[in-house]
Amino acid sequence: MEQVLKRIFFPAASRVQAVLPARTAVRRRRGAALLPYLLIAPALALLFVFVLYPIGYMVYLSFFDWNMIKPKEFVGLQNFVTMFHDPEFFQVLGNTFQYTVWTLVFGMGLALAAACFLKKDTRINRLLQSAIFLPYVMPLVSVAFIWVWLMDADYGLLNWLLGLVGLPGIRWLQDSAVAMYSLILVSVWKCVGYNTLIILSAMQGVPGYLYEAARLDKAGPAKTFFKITLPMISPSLFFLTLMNLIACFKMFETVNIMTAGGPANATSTLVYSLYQYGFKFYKLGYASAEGVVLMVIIGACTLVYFGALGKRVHYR
Amino acid sequence: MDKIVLEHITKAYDKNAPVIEDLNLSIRQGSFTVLLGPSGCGKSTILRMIAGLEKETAGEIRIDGVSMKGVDPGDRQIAMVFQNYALYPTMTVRGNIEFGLINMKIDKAERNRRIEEAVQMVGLEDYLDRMPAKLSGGQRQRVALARAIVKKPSVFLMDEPLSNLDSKLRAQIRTDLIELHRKLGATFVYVTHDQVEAMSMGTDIVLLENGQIRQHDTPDALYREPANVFSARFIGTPPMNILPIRALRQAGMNTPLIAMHAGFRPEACRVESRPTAGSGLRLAGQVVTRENLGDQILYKVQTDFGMVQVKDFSGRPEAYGQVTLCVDPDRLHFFDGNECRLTEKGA
Repeated sequence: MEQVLKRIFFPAASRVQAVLPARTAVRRRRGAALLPYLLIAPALALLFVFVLYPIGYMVYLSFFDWNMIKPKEFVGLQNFVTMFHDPEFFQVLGNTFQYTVWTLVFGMGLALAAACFLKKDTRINRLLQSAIFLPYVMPLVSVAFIWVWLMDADYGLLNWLLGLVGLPGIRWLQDSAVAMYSLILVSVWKCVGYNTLIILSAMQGVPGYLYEAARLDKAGPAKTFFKITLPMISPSLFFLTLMNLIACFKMFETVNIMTAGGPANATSTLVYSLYQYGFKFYKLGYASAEGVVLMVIIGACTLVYFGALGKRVHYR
Repeated sequence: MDKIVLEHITKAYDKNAPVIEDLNLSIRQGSFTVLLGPSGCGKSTILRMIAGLEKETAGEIRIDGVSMKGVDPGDRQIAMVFQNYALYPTMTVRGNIEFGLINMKIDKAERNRRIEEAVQMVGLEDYLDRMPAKLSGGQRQRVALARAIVKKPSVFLMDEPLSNLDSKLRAQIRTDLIELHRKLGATFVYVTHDQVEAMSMGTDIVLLENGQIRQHDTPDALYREPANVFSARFIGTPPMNILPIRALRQAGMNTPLIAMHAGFRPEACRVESRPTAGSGLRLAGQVVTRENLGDQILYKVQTDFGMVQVKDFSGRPEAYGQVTLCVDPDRLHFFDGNECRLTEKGA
């Protein structure tokens, strides 16, 4: 069949092939089969060097005790056993989840509200869109430094503002009960603009006639939002939530700069703890074990998320 | 009785010149009224104003004698079928049909009864659980119809609902719509630029040009007694031939004094290869094209007074070359300097 099709579509080629000796034809066919692999080889090589090999090496390291100087010592699952017996690890895990959940809830919720508000294409709204997007283009490190100043307990702008309305100052980054929420605030502030922009463009992509049909169907604003807008933008929401989820699990810069995991480990997250163990305490095996756990958590979350919600997302 | 009345309606977008100015229109109860006209004539805008999707700049729209000022589209007792169907892509066929009913707070049993009735009417019984994306264009249009039918509206508004379908399906849904109109007895307002749709389905046709009504009549009257040159040229395929009056005067015919143009339908004319004697208009010309459609032959004939189109049912194709066109004097129409038809014939 394939030969027949080839003869129809490439008459000249098949004629040439018929004339060539059989061995040349075989060699040529083998070459043609290899060509696709050759073409994707550079991309595969990069993927291997920068993604697959590091992941594999991390998993490998998690079974060793190593401080980068002395030879690696195989310890089996000891790193994992130590980790799961360490209350600090569970605190770090809890912090990570706390940070992720609240950032997701507020980051997506506020973005959705802002997008609804900015949906109408007016000059002011366009200006507001750019303004709200601005935090996203700033480097996280600079953002973190700015917020450290803003949240300074004695000279910070936030406490000064609180003072203006007669409220007592808050120890934003020094109070263990508050510090995590301060980090969440920064994270939400940073991601809300991007989320808004994506949601907004998704909303503007919903055809206007659907809203007209809904008006004719006597649907109120809430019903229109939940029955038409939300399902129509679900692919974007799905994508954003997943991206935010992964970004939250991997959060590092703000913790490192603003609180260094403190006070009393209250803001230490999985990646920060991993960094500390790896590059401050030089326990690379233990740090790798934490990395493996992080990878498993993100992978599991992604799978669960796709399984639970993926089917309900409406792709046009 | 008039179901829908538009009084002194003006519609302008922003600060531009109005697209519709001081329009007055009455739509009969139970009629199948077609708003017909070339694109940009304002027919869809009129429909959308009746639906409440566009706000009139000035004037008043009344349905059943009640002013629609400030009445939401959902409260106007109307249903609309859109050109692109406007089905909710995230809902199943049932969901689409049911959505309006749920919002109207109709109980479940009644909803199911109505849905069943509607899908039976449009032949969609087996597709209730499908998503719109899994349906063909014709099926989607049927869902849109069912969605309109279940609401039991007193007015159906349709905005070029057949224009996205192929010609065969269009012909089929056309007959379905005629049947539906007769079965439901509701008032249909149908927008189209296709005169075949208008003529075949409409009981009343409103012919529009540049936001103004050029003629509001029955299809038959529109065809046989066009009020003006625009109507005469818009209705009929090929359209009416319009010649300057001197063509007739040179042929020695009596014409009304104030007539400036004369017109005749393509089928009111015979093609003869040799000039024959007889009364009526005789025009010499050269056959430019000949299309044999089986039951009829279409000619384009170049005469001294312009191109003339002829529909011939004789079944004998004439050869390309010199011919004589013979027009029955009873079938001539005369138009004055304002392009309005004169009711008194001069011959």
